[in-house]
Amino acid sequence: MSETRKRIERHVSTDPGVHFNELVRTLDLAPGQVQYHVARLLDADRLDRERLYGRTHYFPPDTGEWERGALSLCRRETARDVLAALIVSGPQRPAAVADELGVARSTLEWHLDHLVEQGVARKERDERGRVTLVLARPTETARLLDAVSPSLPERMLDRFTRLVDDLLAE
Amino acid sequence: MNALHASPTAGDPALVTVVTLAGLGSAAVLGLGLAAFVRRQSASYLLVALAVATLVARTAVAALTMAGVVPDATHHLSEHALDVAMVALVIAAVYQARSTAPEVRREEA
Repeated sequence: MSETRKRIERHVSTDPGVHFNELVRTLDLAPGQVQYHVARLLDADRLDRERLYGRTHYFPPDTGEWERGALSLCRRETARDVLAALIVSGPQRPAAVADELGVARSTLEWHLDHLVEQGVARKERDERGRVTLVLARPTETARLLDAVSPSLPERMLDRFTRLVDDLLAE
Repeated sequence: MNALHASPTAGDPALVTVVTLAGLGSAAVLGLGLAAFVRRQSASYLLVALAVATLVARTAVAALTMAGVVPDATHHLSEHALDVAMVALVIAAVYQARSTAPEVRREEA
């Protein structure tokens, strides 16, 4: 196997859930080169690809289903902030989380939909139907938050939507 | 009469620098706006992206004027027409926000 292909495989295993653009940037390769080698790695089952919420993530094949979803969301800044708030302060009402993070309720709900869908968080309802946000696996979530971090373009996109949601909120 | 927006000379390095910076900056913001629209798929985000696009268009008009494609007399009018478009788009985005951002869902009230 070529040296380039090994480098790509190594990078994906140390940075599971990495995006295509980030691979190109950090490995300092041409996009076409990365595309070619990634396709070969996918064919050989040495790499897996997962498309989640508009972004393509690459994983080592032994990454579990739950980890894939969780790692993808740990790469989004606002989702990270929500997870961190729930780890630090424990289960909370959505309004308290939105307040603490200073985000519009619409921003929070958009990210919560994904966190719930991927089984990272869940909404528990009391007898009056009031929602409390609870992490499904707090310890593992904390570990994954530590393992990956969002790239600069991802942070900028997240902050842009936070700003617009905030400006347009009632 | 011609003091405001005096006929720009294509070779003025200061003007070229400013227009280049404006082009790069507004293109980056438009990129963010479009990515945000792709993510959210809401009318408000489309309007915000279009408003940012008018900034890019403004720079394009300036560049085309410097290149001699757009006549001097027209560029003034088209740039201010783009201002009108931007204002209208921002107002529309704000107006639209109420119907696209349900702040509290019924079960969580």
